[in-house]
Amino acid sequence: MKRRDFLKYTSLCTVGGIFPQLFAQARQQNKILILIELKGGNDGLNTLVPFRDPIYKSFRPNLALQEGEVLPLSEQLALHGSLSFLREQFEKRKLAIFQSVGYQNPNLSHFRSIDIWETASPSDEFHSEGWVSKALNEMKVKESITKGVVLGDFNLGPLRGSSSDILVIDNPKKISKSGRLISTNSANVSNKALAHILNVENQLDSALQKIAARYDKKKLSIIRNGGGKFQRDLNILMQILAVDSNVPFFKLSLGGFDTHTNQKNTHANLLKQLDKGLRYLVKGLKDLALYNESLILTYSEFGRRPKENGNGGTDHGTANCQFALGGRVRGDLYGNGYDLNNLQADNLVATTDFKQVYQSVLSGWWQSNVKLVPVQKKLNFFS
Amino acid sequence: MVFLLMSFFICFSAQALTTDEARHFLSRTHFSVSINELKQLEKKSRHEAVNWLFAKESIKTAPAQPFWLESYQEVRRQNFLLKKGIVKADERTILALKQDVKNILAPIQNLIPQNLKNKLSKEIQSNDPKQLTKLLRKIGRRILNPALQSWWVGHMVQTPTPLTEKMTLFWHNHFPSSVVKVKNLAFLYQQNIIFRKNALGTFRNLLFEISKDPAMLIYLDGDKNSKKKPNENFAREVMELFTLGEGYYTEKDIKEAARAFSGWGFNRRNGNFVFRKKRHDHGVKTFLGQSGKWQGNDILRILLSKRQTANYLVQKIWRYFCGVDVSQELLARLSELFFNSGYDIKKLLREIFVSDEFYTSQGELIKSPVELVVGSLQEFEIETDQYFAFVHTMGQLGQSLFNPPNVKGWPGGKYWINSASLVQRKSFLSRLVRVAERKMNGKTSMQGMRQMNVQVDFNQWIKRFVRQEDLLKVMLPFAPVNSLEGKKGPELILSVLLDPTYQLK
Repeated sequence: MKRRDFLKYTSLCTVGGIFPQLFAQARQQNKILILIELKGGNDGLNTLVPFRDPIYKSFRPNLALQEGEVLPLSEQLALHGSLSFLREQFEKRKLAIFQSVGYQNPNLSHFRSIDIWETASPSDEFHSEGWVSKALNEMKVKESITKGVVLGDFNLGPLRGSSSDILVIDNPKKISKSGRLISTNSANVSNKALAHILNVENQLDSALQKIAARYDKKKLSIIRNGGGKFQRDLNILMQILAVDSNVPFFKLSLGGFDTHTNQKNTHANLLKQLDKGLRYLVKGLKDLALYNESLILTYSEFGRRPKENGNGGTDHGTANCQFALGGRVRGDLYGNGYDLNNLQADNLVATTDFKQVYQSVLSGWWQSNVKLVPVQKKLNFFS
Repeated sequence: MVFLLMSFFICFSAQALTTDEARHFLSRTHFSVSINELKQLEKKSRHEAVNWLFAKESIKTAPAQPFWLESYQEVRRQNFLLKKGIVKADERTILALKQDVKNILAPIQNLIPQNLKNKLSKEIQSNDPKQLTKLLRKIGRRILNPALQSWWVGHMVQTPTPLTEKMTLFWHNHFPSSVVKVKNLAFLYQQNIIFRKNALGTFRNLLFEISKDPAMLIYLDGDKNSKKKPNENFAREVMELFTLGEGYYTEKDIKEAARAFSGWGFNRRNGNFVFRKKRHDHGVKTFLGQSGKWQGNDILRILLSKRQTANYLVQKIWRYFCGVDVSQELLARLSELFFNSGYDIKKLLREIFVSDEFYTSQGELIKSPVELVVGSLQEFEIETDQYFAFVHTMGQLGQSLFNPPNVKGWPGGKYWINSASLVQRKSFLSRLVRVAERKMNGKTSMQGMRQMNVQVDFNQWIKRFVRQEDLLKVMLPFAPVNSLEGKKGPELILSVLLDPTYQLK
């Protein structure tokens, strides 16, 4: 088999089935971080639901979820009815839920707020380097085909400003066939624009070569194809991990959470996609014997306004909930719950800084020396 | 005598553009370089080249209105009247509505995928105006939205005034409005006309016009801004992104500006700007240190009175044409000139195009998806009646016209190229050559919105170049990175297109 045919094959040969347990893990295995961006601002209040709170019900005459529409976690809190897999994981103590997560001086603009989340900067500072780039640039990790993979869109997100090798993949078939389009060259040219292009070509070529070198047809994973775009991207993620389990970082995205109008069905469908996708991802990671080496974390630029608007939707908000999932996650509820009596400018007050979660990932999961500013207290959510 | 002649010659050649310089000038002011124009420019000085360009640009070439626009507006108007209860949903109205939908679709029948066509023909049977509204929305999203992009792309490919189109594209990126929020395609079309009309006019007029444009009023919530419920969206962006740039104003200035802009809106039926006195905050505002009973126009006037606005614009326009940053000395000179000329865009462009720094930026610019696609189509003189396939390609490469990612526009520069987009770029170029050649050889091509329907006789095309060197001079900013040894005909063309240097200009 030609070295560049790998992705083509894995993407074409995907028929019903599961990964064979062929990956006895080498002793040194990079810790994998999988970030899932919920684009548009996920409605945290209808994701982790204070379903018995009368204020919640009064804020949302049309959107408040009823007893039958939620999956209770406790007397007060429940998950949205679409999140059956996440509830299972919570019961197995494998799902960490961070409550009231956000940052001081919240910005309600989509792109400014996502910049803040992805660069882990204080609200009034502009950073050009993503928080994951900071870690990958200085971390010592076992060599892998690439250090980070961006799936779903061209947006590098927390990988922006990276000086490490990264791959953006939208169409593995096209990339697999790109061998004849790509050539390697000395990137040592004075023209910066040309140097950038040559650098991207070289990164791609080197990844394709490493894939070919590691590729073994017998180990070919057979993955179910189909599902929506999100499922398809998860598929690509697992194909890459099947070839090289040491790729330390992946970023995916699921869009459509900016639910200003007719939120109810849209939101239920989106969360169902997320839940289904996570079920699929966790199963895949377990089949690859990588679940204990993986951490899945969701994030979104902001939560939504507690009070519904006049169009059956919700407007931009602030504090939100965040999920972490993985073999070594100590499942629990972290941080303070909702305080609907204490709103600021009609919005929730964040009591856990998202940088606390990120700092815990950096030092607790990746053993990275990167320190986010201002100094964040760690949340110990690993077992 | 010989010495005298030589010095005369040297003096003259210092004035006249070299082939490389002429090539550079054309590549930055046009979407592609043609060998004929290259020859026309070779004996001209820098100033003469600009004269030549401006003379060429002086023809007014407003593109013909998209053929579906009138029916689309008619359907929208009917819908509006129905929704407001002004017109009853009787048989005649519904029938007229359906006829308009059919008028929109008729000329592009064979482009619509069969499954969508089946769905549409079923849905058009309905007599429920709500269902018909839904149907119109679907047609808008799936067909007319790409049709509007196709209309503009077609004009870019065929225009005799490329600099005007390049500036129209620049202003679309500077004052972005997205179809996702604006939704009304007629408004986006109108906005595009404003950009073209002012493309080489003054930034002053453009700023005033665009601030009152319905698409912009929707995109940045200007029409939602009232004394009771102030909305700061436009007030913030007009300073941060359109005039001063970050850091030259305070949060207080934003709030005060929002008060001054309150009451701005537009007529829902015809899109005309209206000032709603009752929604306006008539009090005194203090903006950038100046107090008065300011209205929106005053805010724009004050912003234009700041030298920083000229600075900000010059830097952005410079980067658009040169790829690299401008030196401090030249920036100071250009922004003074721009400011003193009352923001005359042509005067600024002339100074840019005769400067030494402009001529040292060869190959430093990465082509945007639009430039790559339009430039390649022009290169091979490909014209078709619809550009849906190319619109789709631009989207894959990360640039859907009328749909910028956010109010900052497309970040551009090196952000255009990553592993995915580079592969998409190259596979587009190789597909273009393959499809155009196949069709030339009499093979039928596939039908459908995303299929390229083009043919090129590459063997004939290549004959216009006496030597391979001439071909490279036209197509690439400098020598190719990859070897072209032994390549001929279409194979040579493909290798040139796939060379990394083809991505640059």
